[in-house]
Parts: sequence; structure tokens; C-alpha cells
Amino acid sequence: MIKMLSKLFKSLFLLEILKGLSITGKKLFKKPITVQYPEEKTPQSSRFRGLHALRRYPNGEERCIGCKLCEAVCPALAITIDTEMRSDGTRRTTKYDIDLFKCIYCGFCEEACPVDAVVETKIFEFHFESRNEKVINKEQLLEIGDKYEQEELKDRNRIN
Amino acid sequence: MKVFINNREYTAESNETIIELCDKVGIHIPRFCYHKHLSVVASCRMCLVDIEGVNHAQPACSTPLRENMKVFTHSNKTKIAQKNSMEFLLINHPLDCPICDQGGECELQDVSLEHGDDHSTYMQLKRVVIDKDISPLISTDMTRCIHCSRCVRFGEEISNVKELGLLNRGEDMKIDVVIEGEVTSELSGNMIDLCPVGALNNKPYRYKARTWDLKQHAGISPHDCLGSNIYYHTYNNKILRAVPMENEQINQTWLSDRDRFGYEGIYSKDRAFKPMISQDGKLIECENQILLDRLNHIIINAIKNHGTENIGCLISPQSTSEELYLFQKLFKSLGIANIDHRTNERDFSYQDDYPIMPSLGININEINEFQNIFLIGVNIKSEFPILSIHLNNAVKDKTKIFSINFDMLDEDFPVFYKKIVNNKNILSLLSNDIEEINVQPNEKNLIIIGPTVSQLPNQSDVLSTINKFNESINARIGFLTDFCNNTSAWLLGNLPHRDICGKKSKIIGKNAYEMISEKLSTYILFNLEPEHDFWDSNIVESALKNSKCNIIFTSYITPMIEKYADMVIPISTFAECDGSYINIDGTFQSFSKIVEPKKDISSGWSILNNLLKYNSSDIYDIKTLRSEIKDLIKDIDIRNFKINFKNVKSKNQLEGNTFIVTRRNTYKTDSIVRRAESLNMTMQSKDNNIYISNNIANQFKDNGYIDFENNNIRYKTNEFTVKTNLPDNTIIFSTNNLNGKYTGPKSQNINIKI
Repeated sequence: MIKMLSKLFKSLFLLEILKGLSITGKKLFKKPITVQYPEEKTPQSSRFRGLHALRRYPNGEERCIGCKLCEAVCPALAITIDTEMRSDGTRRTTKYDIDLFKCIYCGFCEEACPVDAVVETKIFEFHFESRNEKVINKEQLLEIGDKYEQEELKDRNRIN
Repeated sequence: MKVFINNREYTAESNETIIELCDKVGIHIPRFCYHKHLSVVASCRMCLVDIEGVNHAQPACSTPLRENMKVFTHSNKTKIAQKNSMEFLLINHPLDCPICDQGGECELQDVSLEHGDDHSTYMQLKRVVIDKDISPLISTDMTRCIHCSRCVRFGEEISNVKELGLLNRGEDMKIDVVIEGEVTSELSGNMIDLCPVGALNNKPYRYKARTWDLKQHAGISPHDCLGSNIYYHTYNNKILRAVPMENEQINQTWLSDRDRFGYEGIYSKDRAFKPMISQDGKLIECENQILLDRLNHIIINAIKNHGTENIGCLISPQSTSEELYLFQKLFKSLGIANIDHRTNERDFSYQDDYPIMPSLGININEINEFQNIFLIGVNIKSEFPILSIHLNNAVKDKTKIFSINFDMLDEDFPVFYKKIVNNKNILSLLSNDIEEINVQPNEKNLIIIGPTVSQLPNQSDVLSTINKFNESINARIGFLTDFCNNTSAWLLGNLPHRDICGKKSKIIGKNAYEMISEKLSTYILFNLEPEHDFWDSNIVESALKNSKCNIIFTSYITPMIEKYADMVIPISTFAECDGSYINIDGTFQSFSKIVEPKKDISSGWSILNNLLKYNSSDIYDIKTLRSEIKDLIKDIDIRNFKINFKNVKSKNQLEGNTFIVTRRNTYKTDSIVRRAESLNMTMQSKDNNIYISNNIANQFKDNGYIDFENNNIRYKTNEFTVKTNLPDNTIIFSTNNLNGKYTGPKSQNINIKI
């Protein structure tokens, strides 16, 4: 009986609608969270997983040692690596290709890397003009790495 | 004997150790230093197991089982013991698994994952060992070494060449060589397999791939007549390395360096990639489609214009059985009788008395049952390294080895009696009773006739002398052949005087030497390299020059082929086609394609098969072909054959006073090995010497050079080594000597001028 009465009371005075409208009313005078992309951007986490890069040591030597662990762990089989012995006797890659269409940006490659060579930067705005550009090679990856090294370092310090 | 392992009852044989039984029944015990073919040292302490009633955990590799013994391989006590051993082993081991080639197949990696701790309490300095360049085949990272001493024991017990040793003690202990580049044994590659960590690794394979990328394909060794079983590992359709496939009958768990690294030859730059036809004296690439029509046309025309007796068909005994069978079938069906595979020989008078095929007559692993073994004209160490392991075991079982050879090379096993001979005094040596050879006919004796005998210009005389010598000692006679498939070549009738299974031919054709020296109008060479695979390459050159047409099936374009070929048909090597070999103890072993050949290269048997289609209705696929061959030879008793060379007599006159012989250099034996890059860097390949006997050296003392003429080509050189232990008037060439310029006969008697 009491249940029925309260239900009747609620529906008669449109309480639910007023509740909803009160949220609308509150938000109406608050600062909106919508951003005017691309002029404005949302904040990114330091752990954001975007476009890949290959890093170097401060002395300019590439970090990658061609251990192929990223290739082995990649669930989408997006990474292809060929290795050889460089003239100074170290293990280096002759080919390091990432197929960005296959990549699912899971970040496993970054986790598997024993020397922190391959990383996923915060870049998420990239496009290709032709289909064959989807595979980025070692030179491109190193270039991205060189360009965003400082930001990468900052992010790493923040996480650790 | 009743024993209990993990509370389950097993029956053990007396003297069986715990690890042997566990391996047999499939209980895993981690180990580093234990290997079933090596002695037990119990130095790694990884196989410790808990035994009821014993206070401490005991090493499973050195503890024999007792009646009612109770062993626990997974108890707490075992686990703690193994974990502690693991911690000590990892103290000095570097954490460079990501760049280590062993990573992924490393025993230390596996065991540390299973038994190791996830953190180290060791804070002190780690040991670092400076690497030496020990061999062109083995790379070293000695800091990774865990001192299991398997490599040292391999040298001491299996190959009997003590190359690596344990130097110093305690913290300073290291595995090392005394002189750099000193690991030169023909079996050195086995230490790569034995090393449980990445300390000794495959040098040509270094940093090329990771183990988990590789695909494994079974194969058979094409480099010697023993037919070792091999696994080839490929990545992206390219062979990157070879490891042994276990076969207790033949190669056990070992592999010779020639078999391990020989595959490199198939990636040589001078591979024949496209069919070519000569036009105006130059070879021009042609389309694959018109090739067969044209080829058939040329052969039919040659028969029509010059007659079947003017065509010479020569095939290498390195070809597969399928190729050998179809080759003789095709050309015999066209009425050509001039078919031969014995291009390395000069004297053929023995051929009617030869057994149905060359064979060792026994299983390879039965060799240690013999009490006396005579090795005539063969250096086992360099030519048949795997057999060297078997003979080394035989010597340990008190077998006496008698070596009578034309070369002064040493063997790796102790030789009871050794004599260096030339082709004349071997006859007198074997005809007279030698005091040192005190062999009774009631003992188990074996005579092995090696490949150098077949090169001799008086081969038949030597064979009949051996036969006579055998009458007094009643031995079994076996052969070792120069290529991997001579057995098939004889059995499947690639001979001028015999058909399949030793049936006599109706028309007897010319033998290999007659074909070359009598200058026929057409030559068909299959898988042969004119520069190296013939008894005398000078005569081959003039024969190819004067002939009207040379059809050459080859995997490699050599300078002579480029110059004289009228038609080049590229054929696959052993790795790119299905095939079979019959090894020297008569085992029929088949293998399938390991890598895909390049676009225009087809397998030899399929080309021959397509040619056969023009002339007969028989069309094969590899299965029917193989079963037809197997059916043909199934009644042949490979083990029991009578050898009777009594009435054989050589027709050649030995005129000269000086005996010249070319060594069958380990890494120069066939066209593939000759092109294997890393094998060419070994000490054996670099041996570019001429060895001359003392009395010749005395004659030329004043000049400082030797000077002789052979087929109007004059050889003059001052690069030679005098060997005092050679018999008088002997000159030995390492194959293709005089920096590749010696092109004379492989073995002959000549007069040398002073």
C-alpha cells in the first residue's frame, strides 16, 4: 500500500524529470569539457601508447641490439626484424619494420625490450597518403626517436 | 633390479645410473655436464636428487642404482639443492641473453627459469674472460662458460684431438686454447652442440637469426659416403645452420664440420640461375619453356648425325639415386652405351670383376667388432671424420689399425702400423710378409679400400695385390668411396658395362677416361665440374674444346663451362630437391626439399623425367620413382658379396720414375664444399703446399725450385715442403695446388727433369 502511494506521488509530481533537469541545470553554468580539437587538446597520460620510435643512447649509438624479443611478443605480427653482425662485432638490425595497420598499440614491444629501445610515444596524430607508407622502417623510427627523445625522457621520469 | 623413482616402481639394469634410467623412462632431471656419449664428471651439481636414507642430495649422473633404492626427483630437498647449485652457476654468468645466439635453446636459460631465483644476492665483481679467436667455425664468448667441461671431454674421448683444455683453478679457471686459431679438428663443430650455454657458438650463424624463428628440416649429408643424418635450420627460405640428427647406426649425435658447414656452398655467387644456350661463342640466357624442346632436339640430332657411340654421358656420383636412375634410363633408352660415373679414375681393367656395388660390407657401427683393420689408401681423419669416431672407439676396444696410405697425413686415433707408400712399392709391400703385421686368419679382420686407390693409374694391380694379401689373413673387404652416392651409381647401372643391379650390358660402351681421351662429338655432363671432378682436367678441356656440342647440367657456372658449354641447364643442389642416397653400408635414405630453389632452377630428376617423356611413356612423380628404385634393389644382399680381383691386371704402363698424387683435401672434395666460405678459411683449406720426398729435394737443392712437365704444361715452383717420411720419388699436391694452377692428373708416374 505504501509502495503504491509513493509510486503515485513520484509520477504525479514528475520527480524523476526534475532530478534529471537539476543535473542539466548544474552543468549549464559549469565550464564545458568539450575541447575544440585541433585547436585545443585533451591532456594525455604519461603512459599513452602512440606512434613507435627507436631511441638512441646519449652518445648517438642506437639502443636496439636486434634481440627480436619485440618481434616475438607482438600479438599482431606487426614487427619484422633482420639482424647481422656489424663490423665492430655487435649485434645490430639491418631491417626494423613496423606495420602500423597491423599494430594494435598494446605496448608489449615496449615492455619486452631489454634496452628500452622501442617505445610508444605520445604521438597519435599521423596519417598516410598512400597505403605503402603504413610500414615504417628503421630510419623513420630512429628519426621519430631523435625528435621526441626529450619528451620521452620526461614521461619516463614521471612514471618512475 | 627393482627401484623406486618418485614412489613408482621401475626395473633397472645393474650399473645403471639414476640419470640413465630417468632419461629412459622420461623423467626430467636438469643437467649441464652430463652427456650420454661422454664420461661422467659430476662437476655441475645440477642433477642432484634426493635419495631416501642418504643425508645429502646426490648427483644423479654418477650415482648407480641399488636394489630397492628410493629416489625423489621433485622433492623439497631436491628442489633446494638444485636451486642452490643454480645460484652458484649464475654468479658469473652474464645477463646478455638478448644478444646471445644460444638464447631460446639454452639449457642454462631453461633450467634457471625452472629452478633459478628471480633475484641475485651476489654483489661482488663478476669474472670476465678475454676471448680468443679459436677457429673460423666457432665463435667464443668465454665469460658465459659454466665450466661443464663437455668440450674438453669431447676432445679427449670422442675426437681424440685435445684442443681445448681447462686452465688454472678456482676463480681463475677457464676453458682455453694455448695458441690462437688452434681448434682445427674436422669434428670441432660438435663442441657447439655440446656447449650447454652460449660460450661456444656457430660462427657463420652468428647473429643471423633467433632460434625460435628457425624451421627444422631433415636431410642427409651429401659430402661423404657415410650418409650422416642432419637437421637443417632455415629462416626465410635460407639455410642458416645444420645440426646433427641422432642416428646411432651412423653418426650417433655427431656431425663432421664438412656436413655442418658445407651447405654454405649452395649460396655461392657462381650458381647457375638461368638456362643458357651458346650463340656466337657466348652463353645467352634463354627461356625455360623452349629449353626442353631444344635439348631433346639437340640430343636426337647428335644421335642421327654422329651415331650413339660418339656421345659421352657422364654423371657425378654425388647426384641423387633418382637422378642416377633416370639418367641411365634416358640415355640407355636412346641406345647410348657410353655412360659412366667414374670420372676420377684412370684404370678400368678391374671393372668386370668388381662386386655389384662398392660397400663396406658391414654396418658402420659394427666396425669396432673387428680385431684388425687395414686402411689402404684412405685418411679417415680428413676424409671420413665420423668414421674416425667409430675407429677411435674400436681402438679403445683393443682393435689394431694398420694404415697403408699414399699420403703422410696423421690419424686422430692411435695407429698400430703405419706405412707411406707409392703406387709401385705398395705392390711389393703387400706381396711380402711383413713382420709387424702379425695377423692371424682366424681373427676378425677388415680391409678398407679407400678412394685414393681408385685414382691410381694401376688401380687394378693394387686391387689384385690386396686380394692376394687377403688370402693369408682371410679378411672382409670393404670400400669407402669418394662421393656420397657411388653405391647407387654402380647399383643403378651408370656404367658402360653393366645395367641395373649388375646385369651385363649387351653393348659395352666406353669408360669415363676413354670418353674423354678419345674426343667424342657430344658430351653430356651431369653435376660435374670439369676443373675438379675429372682424373685429368687438361684432357677434359681439350675434349670439350674439340667436341661439337657440350650439354651441361650443372649447379655452378665454372670458367670452363662458361667457355665450352653449348647448353647449360641449371639444376638444384641437394638442398633444393627431393632425393635419396644409398650410403656405404647400404642404407637407403630419402630426404625432401629443404629450401625452394630460385625460379628457373629445377631439380635434376624432373628435367630428366621431362626428357624421358619425349621418348617413352614412363612418367614419374617422386613417389613412384622412389618405389620403382626400391623395388629394383630390394633383392640385393648388400652385406654379403664376394670379392675376387685375382685375375685383374692393369693395362697401363707406369713409365715415369716419380709418383705424383693429389690429396683428397677434406674441404675440396665436391663442388658444394669447395664453395663453402667458412670451410675455405680453415687450416685444411689453406694448406697450399707441395710435399716432396727427400731425394727429390736433394736433386733440386741447387736450384731452389722444382720443375716438371706434364702434358706439355710446365710446372715450376719454389713453394714446396720437404717431408722426410715420404718414400723416395714422391710428390704430393694438396688438391688444386700451385694456387689452383695445377691441372694435371690426380695421380700418375712421370719423369721429372733436373
